[in-house]
Amino acid sequence: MNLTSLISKNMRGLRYKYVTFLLSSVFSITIFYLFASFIMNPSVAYGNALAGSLVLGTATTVGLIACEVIIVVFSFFFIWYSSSAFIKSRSNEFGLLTTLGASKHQLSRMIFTESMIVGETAIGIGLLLGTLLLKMFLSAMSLILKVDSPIEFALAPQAILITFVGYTILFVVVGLINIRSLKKGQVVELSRASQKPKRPPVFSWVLGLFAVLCLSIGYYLAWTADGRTVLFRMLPVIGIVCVGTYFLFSQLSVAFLRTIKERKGLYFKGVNLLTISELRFKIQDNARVLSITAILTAVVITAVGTLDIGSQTLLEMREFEFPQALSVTIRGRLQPPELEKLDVSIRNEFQSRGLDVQSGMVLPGIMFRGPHGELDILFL
Amino acid sequence: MPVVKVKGLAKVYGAEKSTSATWALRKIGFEVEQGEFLGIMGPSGSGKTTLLNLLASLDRPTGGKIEIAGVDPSKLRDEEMAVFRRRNIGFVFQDFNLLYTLSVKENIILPLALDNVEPKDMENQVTKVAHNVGIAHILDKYVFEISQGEQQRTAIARAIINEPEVVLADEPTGNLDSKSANHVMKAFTSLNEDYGATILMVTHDPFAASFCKRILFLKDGEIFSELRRSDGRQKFFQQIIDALSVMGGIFDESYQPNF
Repeated sequence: MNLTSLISKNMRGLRYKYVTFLLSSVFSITIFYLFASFIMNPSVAYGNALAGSLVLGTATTVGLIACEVIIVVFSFFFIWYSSSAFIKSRSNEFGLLTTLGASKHQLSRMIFTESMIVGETAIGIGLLLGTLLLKMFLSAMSLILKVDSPIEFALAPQAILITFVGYTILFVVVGLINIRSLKKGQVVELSRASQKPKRPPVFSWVLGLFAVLCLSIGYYLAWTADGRTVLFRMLPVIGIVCVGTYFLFSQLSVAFLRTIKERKGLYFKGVNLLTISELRFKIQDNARVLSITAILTAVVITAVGTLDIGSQTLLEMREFEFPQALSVTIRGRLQPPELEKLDVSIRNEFQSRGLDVQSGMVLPGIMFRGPHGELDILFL
Repeated sequence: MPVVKVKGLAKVYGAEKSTSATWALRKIGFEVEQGEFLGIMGPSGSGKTTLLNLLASLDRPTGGKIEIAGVDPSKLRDEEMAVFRRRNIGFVFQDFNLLYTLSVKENIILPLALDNVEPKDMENQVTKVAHNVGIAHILDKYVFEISQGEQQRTAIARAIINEPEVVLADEPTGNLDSKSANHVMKAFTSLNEDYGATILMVTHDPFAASFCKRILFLKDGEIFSELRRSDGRQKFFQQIIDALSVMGGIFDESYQPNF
C-alpha cells in the first residue's frame, strides 16, 4: 500500500460525496458537447449548401458560439465553486493528514489527482450521455428550424476534441486554484474551519434592488430587440440577466425566509422552527446551484431562440430577394439582344411543357464568393 | 537525556501589550525524559490544549522555546516540518480522528504510507503494533464496525507505528466509557513500560491520569504543582484528587471516579 492506493481507496469511500460534484459537471459538459456537435455537424456547417440542408447566417453562428462561451464560463465558476466547497467540507481530513506528517506537496498532489480523476470521469460520462442524446437534440433542432430534411446524425470528431481538451484544461485550472487556496490558508486553520460557528446570511437592500434592476433592464432590452439590434444586445443582455438572476436567488431567498421568521405564528410551529432556521443557513449554498441551473437553462433557451430568429430572418430575406417562384442564373456577360433571345427561348420552353409564365424580368448582377467560400449573387 | 525540553514558553492570544490580551501560558518550563509517561492536568482554560498545540507545532509560541529530540520545530520549513512530524511525533486525539473510508489496518499504516515505507516493512510493523494494543483481530474491519475503545486503540497504534520520539495525547479517554478507557490506558501503559515509548498526555480525568508516572498541574497558564507516582495506582489516584482539591475551584467538567 502506498500513497496512491490510499488516495484511490479514500476516493472510493467518499464516492457518495463526489456524486453531486460529478453530476453537476456532467450536466454542463453534456450541454456544451451537444451544442458543439450541432455547430460542427457536417450538414449544418458553412459552405455545404446542399439541397435541403441548413445554412446558418453569421448572426446565428455568433449567437451559438456566444452560448458555448457562456456555458464554459459558467461551468468554470460552477465547477470551481462545487469543488472548493467539497474541499472545505473535508478540511478535517486535511488537518488530520497534516498532523500525521503529510507535507503540503503531498496534499496538493492528492487534491490535484482527485480533481483530475473526477474531471476526466465527468468528461467521459458527459460525452457518452451527449452522444446518446445527440439524435434527439438534432431532431428537436430540425423541428425548431423547420428544415425540409432532418439534420443527419453525425459524430463530429472536432466537437469531441474541443469538449475533451476544453474541459480538461478547465479541471486543471480548478485543481490548481484549489491547491493555491490550500497553500494560502494554514492547514490547521482549515481543520478548525468546520468548527467555526456559521453566521446567518444577511439581506442587503442594495443588492436586492440591484437584482431587480438588472433583471428589468435585461428583460426590457430583450423584449424590445428586433432583427437588427438583436445581435448587439444579445451578449450584454445575457450578462446582465445572469448577474441579476444570481442576486435574485441569493438575496430574495434570504429576504423571504426572514419574513417568514418574523411571523412567529408560523415560525414557532412544530418542526418549522428547525426547517426554516436550517434553510436560512443552507439557502446561500443552494442559491448558487439554483442560479447556475437557471442560467444554464437560460443559455439553452437563448440559443434556441437565436436559431429560430436566425432561420426566420433567413427565410424572410430569401422571400424578399427572390419573390419569383423560379429563377434562372446565367453565368457570363451577355449583350441585351442575346438576353432577349434567351428570355424568349426560356418562356417558350416553359410554355411547351404547359406552364404559364405570368411575369418575368431580367436582372443583371455579379457573382462572388463570400468570406466562408459560399457563392452569392449581388443584383445590380 | 530529555526528549522534550520546554523553556519559558508563553502564548498570548490577542495583541501582547493590549488590555484584551489573554495569557494562555505564562513562561512555563519542564522536561520530559526518554521513556517517561507524563500527564498534564488542569481545569478548563488552564492552557493544557494550548500547550499541546504548541508542542505539536500546530501553533506558534509568543515566547520561549521548545525542543523535541534536539530540534526546535518552529525553525523548520514546511516540508521539513512535515517530515519531522511524520517521524518524531505521534498523535492521539480525543475524537480518534480515523478515516472512515479506510480499514483499521490502513488507518494504522497511514503515517508509513506518507513516508513511502516499503509495503513489506509496513506489514511487519502493523502486526507488531496491533498486537501490542490488542486489536490484531480487527485489522481488516472498517472503522464503523468497531467499538469506540477499539477506535481509540487503533488511533494509538497509528500514533506509534513510526516509532516516534514522543506520543502526544489530547484527552484520549474523553469520549470513552469507563471500560474502554481502562483498555486504552492499559494500552498506553504497555507501550510505555514494555517498549519505552515516551508519552505526554493531557487530561482532566483523574482515573486516566493515575496511569501516568508523573503529573504536572496547570492553573491559569502556570505550573501549579507536580506529583510523582511512587506506590500503587489506587494511592496515586487519591493523591491526584487531593492535589486537584488543593488547586481549588476546579473541575467544571463533571467528574466521576471510574474504577
